[in-house]
Amino acid sequence: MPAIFKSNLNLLVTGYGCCKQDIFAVQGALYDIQRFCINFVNTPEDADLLVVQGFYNKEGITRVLNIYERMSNPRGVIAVGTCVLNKNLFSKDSKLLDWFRSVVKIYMYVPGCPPRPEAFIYAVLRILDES
Amino acid sequence: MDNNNNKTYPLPGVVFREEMKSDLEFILKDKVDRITGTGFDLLIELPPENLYVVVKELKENPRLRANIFGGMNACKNNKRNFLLINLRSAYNDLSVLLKMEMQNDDIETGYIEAANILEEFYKAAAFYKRTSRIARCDFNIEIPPGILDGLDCFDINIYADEDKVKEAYIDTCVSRVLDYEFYRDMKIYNLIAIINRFDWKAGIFPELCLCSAIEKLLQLKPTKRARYIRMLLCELYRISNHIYFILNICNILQYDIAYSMCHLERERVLGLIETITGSRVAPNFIRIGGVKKNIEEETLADIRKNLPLLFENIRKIEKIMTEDFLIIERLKNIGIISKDTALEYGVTGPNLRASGARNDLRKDNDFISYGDLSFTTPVGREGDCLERVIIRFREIFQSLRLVNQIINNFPEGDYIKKINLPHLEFQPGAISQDIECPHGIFKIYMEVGEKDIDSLVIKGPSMNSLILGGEIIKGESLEDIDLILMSLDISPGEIMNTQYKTEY
Repeated sequence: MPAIFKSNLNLLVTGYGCCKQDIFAVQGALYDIQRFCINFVNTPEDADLLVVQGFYNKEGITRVLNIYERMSNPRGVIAVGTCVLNKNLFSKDSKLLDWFRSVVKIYMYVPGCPPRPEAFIYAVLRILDES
Repeated sequence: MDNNNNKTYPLPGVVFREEMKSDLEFILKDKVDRITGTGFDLLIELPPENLYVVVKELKENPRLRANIFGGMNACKNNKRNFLLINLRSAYNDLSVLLKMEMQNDDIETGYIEAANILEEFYKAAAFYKRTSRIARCDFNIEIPPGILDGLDCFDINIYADEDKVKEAYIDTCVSRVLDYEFYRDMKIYNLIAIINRFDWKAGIFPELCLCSAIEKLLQLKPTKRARYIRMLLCELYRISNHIYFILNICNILQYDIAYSMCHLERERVLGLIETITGSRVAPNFIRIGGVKKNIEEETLADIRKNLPLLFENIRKIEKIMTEDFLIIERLKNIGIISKDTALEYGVTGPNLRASGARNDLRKDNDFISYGDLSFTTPVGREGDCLERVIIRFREIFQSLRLVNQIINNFPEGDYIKKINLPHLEFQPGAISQDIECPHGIFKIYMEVGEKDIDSLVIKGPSMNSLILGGEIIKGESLEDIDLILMSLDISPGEIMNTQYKTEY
C-alpha cells in the first residue's frame, strides 16, 4: 500500500460469516484498532481495503466484485478465514479464492476458523509496515 | 390474575402423548401412511396429494387446532428426498412434523405447490412462495445486505410512499450457500466440530442439540458433572449473545459509551469461555455422553471472581441506556408485535416473551438439569423494540444468577461417559430434538441408519423472526428498518439453512 495510508486507513467488511464478529471485536476498548488510525467505514467509495470473509454463492461473488469496482484507486483486499482461503465448510465445490485471485490483488491472507482479533490486527499492521 | 402469568403456550414434548397420537390416528386414518413418535414431535408421513386435506383437518378440527406454522424444509440426498413441515398448536400440546417423500426431480416443484397450499391456512407460508410475490407489486427502493452481523444475509425490496413503508419483501438470495448434502461422508465427530457454525453468535447450542439427539437414540444419560458443565457453558454463551445484541443496537443508535462498555464486558465473558473451551466462537466442546474436558477449580474461582464485576458493569450499561430519554424515545412504540401475531408466525424465545407469552423450554421441559436450579422466566408486556432490549437485560441478570447457582453446587465425578465411537451402532429410525437457544427454539430432525446419519434437517428460530420482521416493518418509517430488524436478534447462520434455490 502507498505510504499515504499510514495516517488513515479505511476498511470495509463484506460477506457474512463467523469471522465478522471477531473482526468487529477489534473496535472495542480491549483491542482498539483506532489507535493505529485504522477505521471501519460503510461505503465502498470511502474504503481503501476490502476485507473478504465468510460464505459466498454466485450471487455473493458478483456483489463483492461490484463493491470492489466502486472503490477508488489505490485499493486492495485482505482475505480472512478458512472459508475464503481454502474451501467453504458447507459447500464442497466452492473455490472462491482461485477464481478471485485472478481478478483482484490480495495483500494479505489471515488463516484461522475464525482468526483471533490479534491475528487480524497483525495482518493490517503488516500491510502498513510494508508500505 | 394477571394474564401474563397464565401459561398460554404449553410446549410440545413434555411427555410423550400416546393419547394425542391415537386421536390423530382416528381422525386422519385414511389420509396418512403412518404416525410415529420421534422424541419431541409426532411424525406424520403422508402422500403429497393429501396435504390439503390433512392440513385443513389439523387447522380446523377443534380437538387439534394447529395454529402455528413452524417452518418448511427440503431435504435431498442420495437415499431419499422429502419435504418437512412443522405445525404446532398454542392451545394443546400438539407439535407435528408432516413428511412428504418425493422423487428427485419433483422436490423443487413440490416445494412451491406445498407453499401454495399452506398459504391458504398460514400467512407465514407466503414467504416460501417466492416467485409470484415479487411480480405482484413494483418496488422503488432496494436495500442491499448491510454491514452489521444479523443484517447482512438478506436484501429488502420496499415500496415506500414518502418515508413510510407500504410493501416490503425480504429476499435471502445471498445466504443460500448450503449444499443439500454437506454431511455426506462425514463422521459424527466431524459433524459435531462444524455444526456450531449454524449459530455462530452462540456456538454451543447446535452442538448440544445434535449430541442430545444422539444420546436420546442411545438412551444414554450424561453424568451430573457433565450436565452442570453444559449448563454453565449455555448460560455463559447466552450472556455473551445478549451483550452482542445490545452492542449492535447501540451501534445503530450511535450510542458510543454503551457500545464500548458492551465490548469490554463481552470480552470478559468470552475470556471465561476461552479458559473453559479454548475457543471464542466455535467451541467444539460437547461430546456424546459428556464434554471434552474437565473444569479445574481455578477456572471456577476465576468465574466466581468475575461475576460481581459483570453484574455491576451490565447494571451500569442498563442504567445509562434506560435513563436516557433519547434512547427511550427512539426505541419506544416501533416494531410492535402482538402476542397473537408472534404465536401465529411461530416466533419463539425472547422475542415471544417480550410480547407477553410465557414460554421457556428450560423451565417447561426440564432441559439438561435446569430442574435443579431455581429461576423465573422474565416476561414483557408491550412487544416493541424497547421491551425486546429490556428483556435481554433481564435475561442477562437471570443467567448471571444461574451461573452463580451452578458454580456453588458444582458436583464431583466424571465429566464423560466413555463410549466406543468407531463401533457405534444405532437402531435405524428418526429423531427430533428441541433446545432453547438465545434466539428461540433450535430444532434438529435426523434419520439414522445403522452406522451414520442418513438425513439431517436443521431449523433455527431466526427464520421465523425474519419472516415476521418483513411484516412488521410495513407502516414504519424508513429510518427505523435497521433498528426493528436488529431488535429481532437474527442469527445469520440459521438463515443459511434455507436450502431451496429459486430462479426468477
